[in-house]
Amino acid sequence: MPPLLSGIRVIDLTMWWAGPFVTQLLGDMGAEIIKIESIQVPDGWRFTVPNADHDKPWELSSYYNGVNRNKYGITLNLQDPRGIELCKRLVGMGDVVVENYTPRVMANFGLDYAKLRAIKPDIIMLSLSGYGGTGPWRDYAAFAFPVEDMSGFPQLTGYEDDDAPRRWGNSGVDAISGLTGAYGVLTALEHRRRTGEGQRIDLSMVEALTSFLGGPLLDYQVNQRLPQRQGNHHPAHAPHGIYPCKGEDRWVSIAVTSEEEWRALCTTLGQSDWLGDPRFADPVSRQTHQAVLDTAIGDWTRQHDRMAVMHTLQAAGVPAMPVLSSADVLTDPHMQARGYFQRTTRAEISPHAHGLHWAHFSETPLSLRRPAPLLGEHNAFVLKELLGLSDAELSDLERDKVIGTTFVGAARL
Amino acid sequence: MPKAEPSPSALSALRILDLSSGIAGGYCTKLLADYGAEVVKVETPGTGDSLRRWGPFPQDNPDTERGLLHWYLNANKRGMTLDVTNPAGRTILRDLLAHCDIVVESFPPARAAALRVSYEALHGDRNDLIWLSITPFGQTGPYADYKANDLLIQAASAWPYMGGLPDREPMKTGGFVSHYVTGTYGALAVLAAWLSLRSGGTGQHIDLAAMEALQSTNEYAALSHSGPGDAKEVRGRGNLGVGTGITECRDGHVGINVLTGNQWEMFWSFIGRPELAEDPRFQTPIGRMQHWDEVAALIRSWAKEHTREEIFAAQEWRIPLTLIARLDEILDFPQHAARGFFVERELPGVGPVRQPGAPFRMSASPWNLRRSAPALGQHNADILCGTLGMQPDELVLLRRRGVI
Repeated sequence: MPPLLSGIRVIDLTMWWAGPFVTQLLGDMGAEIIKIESIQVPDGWRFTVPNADHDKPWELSSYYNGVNRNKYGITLNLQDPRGIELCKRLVGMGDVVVENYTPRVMANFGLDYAKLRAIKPDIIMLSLSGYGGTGPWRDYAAFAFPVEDMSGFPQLTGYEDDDAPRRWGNSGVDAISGLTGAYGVLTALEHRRRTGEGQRIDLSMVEALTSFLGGPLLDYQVNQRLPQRQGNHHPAHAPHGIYPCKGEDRWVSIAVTSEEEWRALCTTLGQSDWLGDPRFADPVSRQTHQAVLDTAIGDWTRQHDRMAVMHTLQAAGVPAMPVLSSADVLTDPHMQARGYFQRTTRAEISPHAHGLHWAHFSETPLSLRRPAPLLGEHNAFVLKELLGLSDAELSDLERDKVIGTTFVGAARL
Repeated sequence: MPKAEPSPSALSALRILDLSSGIAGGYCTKLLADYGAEVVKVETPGTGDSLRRWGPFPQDNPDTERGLLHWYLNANKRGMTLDVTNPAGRTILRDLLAHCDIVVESFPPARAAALRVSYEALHGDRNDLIWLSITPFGQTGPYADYKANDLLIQAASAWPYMGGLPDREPMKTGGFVSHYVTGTYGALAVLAAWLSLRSGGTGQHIDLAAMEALQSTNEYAALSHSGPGDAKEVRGRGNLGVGTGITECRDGHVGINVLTGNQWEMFWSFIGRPELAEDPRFQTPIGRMQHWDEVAALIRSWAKEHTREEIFAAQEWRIPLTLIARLDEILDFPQHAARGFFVERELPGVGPVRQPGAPFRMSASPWNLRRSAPALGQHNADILCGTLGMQPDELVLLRRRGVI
């Protein structure tokens, strides 16, 4: 069977992580992604390797190479009317346009929705920004961390004993926003399938994230209660936390969520006296006395390898899972067995693994068809094959730096 | 289920049978229902979806019809009860399948197989049925039968490793975030399979593992062995790191996000120390990294002297300093008010409350709140009699036998 989104063409003007994550997901599902950068302003995420001893340091970024797989890459200088014209012609052959500039930029290019719709009436346009395309904050600078701050999440994240809201530690907000955007694109494709109509999607990253916090937001209004940071504890279950294991910086997470699991934990740890102890008789009293439990459990886990703890407890029916680092995940036996990662090669960098199968489809598996494009790698393919430009026209464009394959600021790096 | 009447909602052609329990399945079908899909939520008679028991509850009064999480996640869905462990229940389930396009479930794989409610057992000769299975670790692999909740899924996906402080235990992210991420991937996968089916393809089984879903949103795993330009995973980044992090101020906490050279120049001026833009220690990214302790000390002492409002005003200068938003103030953010992000609903017994509205805005087929979360078994008659053509007295018998 052809891939999920076979036949869908996406014109991709995004940069950094949130926007490109949308088109990564669409590309993973088989859509044709045409990523448009320029040699004047390549995707900012290419420049995460300062001081590299290499003539093309913009090809070395792991961040860029991770998210831009499955995409064709071209360059068009959008400050030049010829670049704009070529972009418009591509839109005329596309189904979806995705961009994550601050709201004024596309209008300044003459590429706002009204203009694109005049070119292709059923075009679907996704605009992704930190705070949305309208409103008093629409021009505020935004990326993962400021959006995370404003979403409410740090207030729910942090150690119980130090009264400090904490960051997640990763840029997951970008990926989550991109994931939500990809779902929005598919929703628009379904509407178009039934009605023939395209439309505009305005995605605010902070709105996407705040949508996860419906429960706490209602709790505040109804019970006048702001959430307390509980570290790795749980509002209803105990014991529940992260415990030290044998070795340097090795940890395991354990969560007891039922009486059956509690009894199994006691038995496995050889703590039969806990079963009769009134301090631990029910979830509420275990919550009250969980400091005692945490200490005792930690004393036990400290003697054992984290994987052994997991296997032993899970065999007894107690939820347990090591705290893995990203390096651990790469070699984890379960992820290996599932075939989650797929290795690929690419010019300028070592062979590397992509996390591919965010879902396993029985008939139309996700695929990794090409690594992230070099700057302007597919100029000839896209401009000649799709738009019918001649070699002479390509030469002129290159001479005038409307297109190209080398960052014009290379000397400054 | 009867076809939905014509509406501008994008997904009104999708008929979904939701057998799932918990947040991930609930948020998945909420996303689909909120943009127009017809969702029938199937719950265990008597006890219902586990979400109903989690609360929070108004005044902490446990009432399975008034759990706030259930009220938020299960709006826009009709609800019926069915005991799928009972052969009579499974017969009804098979009949229901004939009237839906998509099934969403979250059974542990071994249990689904034992009960014969798995895709393999039930899809029969329907090659146009889309079936989404949501589990912590997937249908296959050494951890397939392992139990997990949000903490463990995060642990497996390298999230807590990077959270918290490097000299303390790793720290999970709050808000049960892994379930919402998994649920969003579920909605994406279901809709992709639907589009494929409707353009000449077939149905299929989608195996969604929360560990794989959440892992894909953490940028570091695949990147850590790319060669030159390796992204570097850092243990415990919950502190004020180079240019970015949370710091205390006079009346709470703010976010510091100063990344580009341009932003640093503006920042030094903003805090009244323009000369520091010329300070050789702080002029380059490498310099700022090497002298970060000094920069952080400057930032901390300045922030302690100023209020959240004063610091947030930096946004007018395009410097991304932020509030560490409290949930109460989020409800009153001028940006959310201008965009009408929060929508008001009448919560029975409480009064009007506001909840998040559309996670994204569509110009032609908008997000829409049509009905409240169902009472347990509220639509049994609608569905069993209306759709399956049963007689009301059959329902009485089924109820007596605990099948519904």
